Amino acid sequence: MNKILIVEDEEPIANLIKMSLKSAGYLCQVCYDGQDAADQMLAENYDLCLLDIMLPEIDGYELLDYAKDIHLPVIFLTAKGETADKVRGLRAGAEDYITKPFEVLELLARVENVLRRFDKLAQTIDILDLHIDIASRTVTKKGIPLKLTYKEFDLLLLFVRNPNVALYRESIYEHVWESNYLGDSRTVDLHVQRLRKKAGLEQNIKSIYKVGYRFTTDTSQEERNQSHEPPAASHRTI
Amino acid sequence: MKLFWKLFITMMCVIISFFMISCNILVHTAFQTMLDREADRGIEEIKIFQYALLASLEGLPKDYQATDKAVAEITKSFQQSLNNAQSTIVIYNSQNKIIYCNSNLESDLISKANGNTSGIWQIAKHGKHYYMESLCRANSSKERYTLEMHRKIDHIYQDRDLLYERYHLTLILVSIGITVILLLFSIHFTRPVRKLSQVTRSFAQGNYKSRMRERGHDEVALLSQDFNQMAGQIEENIAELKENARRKEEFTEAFSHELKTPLTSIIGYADMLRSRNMPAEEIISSADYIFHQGKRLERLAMKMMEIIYIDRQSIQFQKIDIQLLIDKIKAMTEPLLKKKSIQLECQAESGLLHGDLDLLLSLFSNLIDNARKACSEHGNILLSGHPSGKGYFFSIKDDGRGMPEEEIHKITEPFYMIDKSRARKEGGAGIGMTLCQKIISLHQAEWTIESQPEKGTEVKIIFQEYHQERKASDHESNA
Repeated sequence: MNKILIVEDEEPIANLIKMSLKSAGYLCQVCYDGQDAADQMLAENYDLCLLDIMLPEIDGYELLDYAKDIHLPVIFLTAKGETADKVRGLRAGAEDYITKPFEVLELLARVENVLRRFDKLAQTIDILDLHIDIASRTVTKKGIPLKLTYKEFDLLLLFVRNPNVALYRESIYEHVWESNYLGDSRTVDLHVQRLRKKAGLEQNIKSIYKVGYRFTTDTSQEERNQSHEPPAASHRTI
Repeated sequence: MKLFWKLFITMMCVIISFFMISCNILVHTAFQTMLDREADRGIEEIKIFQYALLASLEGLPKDYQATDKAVAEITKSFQQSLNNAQSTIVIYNSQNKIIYCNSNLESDLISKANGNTSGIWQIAKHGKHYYMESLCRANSSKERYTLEMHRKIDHIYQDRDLLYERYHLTLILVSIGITVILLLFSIHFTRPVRKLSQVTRSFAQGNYKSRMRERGHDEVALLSQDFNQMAGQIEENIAELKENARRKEEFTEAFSHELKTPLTSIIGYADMLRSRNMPAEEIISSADYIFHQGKRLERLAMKMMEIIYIDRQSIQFQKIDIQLLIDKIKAMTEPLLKKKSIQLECQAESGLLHGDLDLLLSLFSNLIDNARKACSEHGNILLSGHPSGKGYFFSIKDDGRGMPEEEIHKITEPFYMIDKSRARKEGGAGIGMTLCQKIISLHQAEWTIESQPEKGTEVKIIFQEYHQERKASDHESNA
């Protein structure tokens, strides 16, 4: 499991990040100020650091320099949304820059991207009878390659990465098509239907009335999805 | 044309023409004087000759017929005695016939002489030479003669030409000299003007630090002083504008941060709740986060509204009874203070303040709330007020945590919090002190904050708009 250090002085936000990362199968440690974060970075071997810029004691930029020395990838997570701030952050050596308010889906996707870039996540995902190679964007089902379009592949990846999460049509649209959702659900529905057919996931991608879709690996016991077990994350192995 | 050239050319023209005119007059006068002297001399000479001739003729025997020839002889000898080869003599008889002439020059002077017995003269030019011709009558007892003398006066003209030559040479030298002097002079006098234009240009290009050197007391120095004064004022204004813009930018940045932080939590937790299956306790805590962050947004919005209200609204000032104000403050702050068992003690002398009751209530409740946040359980807050020399003096003193001196001036900055996490727990929005600052300046009051860590904080406010008690009965009715 990947260990992620969260440095955020606002307790509710820190907790939010921690909850969402935990449910995605990461180990998390939260620090509320810069001094504490610097100590933690040395104390444990982390795979990634989510860093706020405005922090008590030591600010985010200083911590970034510190993290670079120990080759710890950093994603800035801040309310400073100006282009100048982003450029400054990325120039300083951050791997990515997320502005508040953010969506959990986006946070998870960016975290995974950075981890994969640093070879801390597998380049392939094996789930059900599917084998997904992210680098070459190919999917095989029981060894037979599937012909998926670009968007269908992204869609599959989104489902697979967020098992047991109700994905709203607007979230799906904004995530896969990377533009604002204008209330037209036909595009999403069409792609989901084709993906279900092509990948044989009719049982696994479930429609949720008036909401969207949910991907689940467990088709037999629908009731289990309502249980309080954190979603399985069997695919996250180095 | 540049001032420099104007100055230079004007002065050059004036000086050179004055020089030329005066030199010309000088040369001309000198020439005229010499000419007059020469004329005098010519007349004198001819008079001597006339006298000599007449004397000679008188000296002749009476019966001796003075022939023209004799006259010529006398003249010749006279001329020899004069020893003046330059002069030529012509003698006419009464019929204006030449009886003696040792010159080949012809003169028309005789025709101008009619009847004039004393000498006349004129200047005549024959060939390249100038001649002074003088003429006079000589009446002997027997015959009337007209005497004419020609004298060469080339030297006068030569002198004049020499003078002119010298004068031209001097003119050239003087022109060169004056040019150099005037150039230096113009450069010197236009230097401050050029400097001023240079400084102005640099100022216009945004270098607001550029100033003139103030030296001397002439107009340019005065202008420099005025310029510097203007520049100083502009620099000040621009610095103020910049400071305002910076403060606004900081405020916007801080405000957007304050807005985004609770929004992040609200959106994030709501998203989790709607799309995930979560354990019951997580659902409750997420909802709790949403609730509290929403409350925080509400507080921020209310405070912002209050600040906007102060900025926009024209506020009606009234006379406010201090006792009444204190009572209202007590009533307003009591519930929160009770929760922490904090004792609020009020000792205020009666009087009337000039101000807006709602704003003053907001000011005091904010300050007392700050004191409450600084106090631990069973703390004490003392609100005291009394008239002082300058106006009415209020003091709000707590025995709470206090703060380091370097933090004091920062606390009125919007969204500044010394201890962020604590302030959040206590429900601070971070703009209470900014609000207080606005209310204070609106009431033309002054405040100072004194604080010592671990000992407590004291806020002192002086209201200048203060009235003594109107009437005892009035006070009673208010109380």
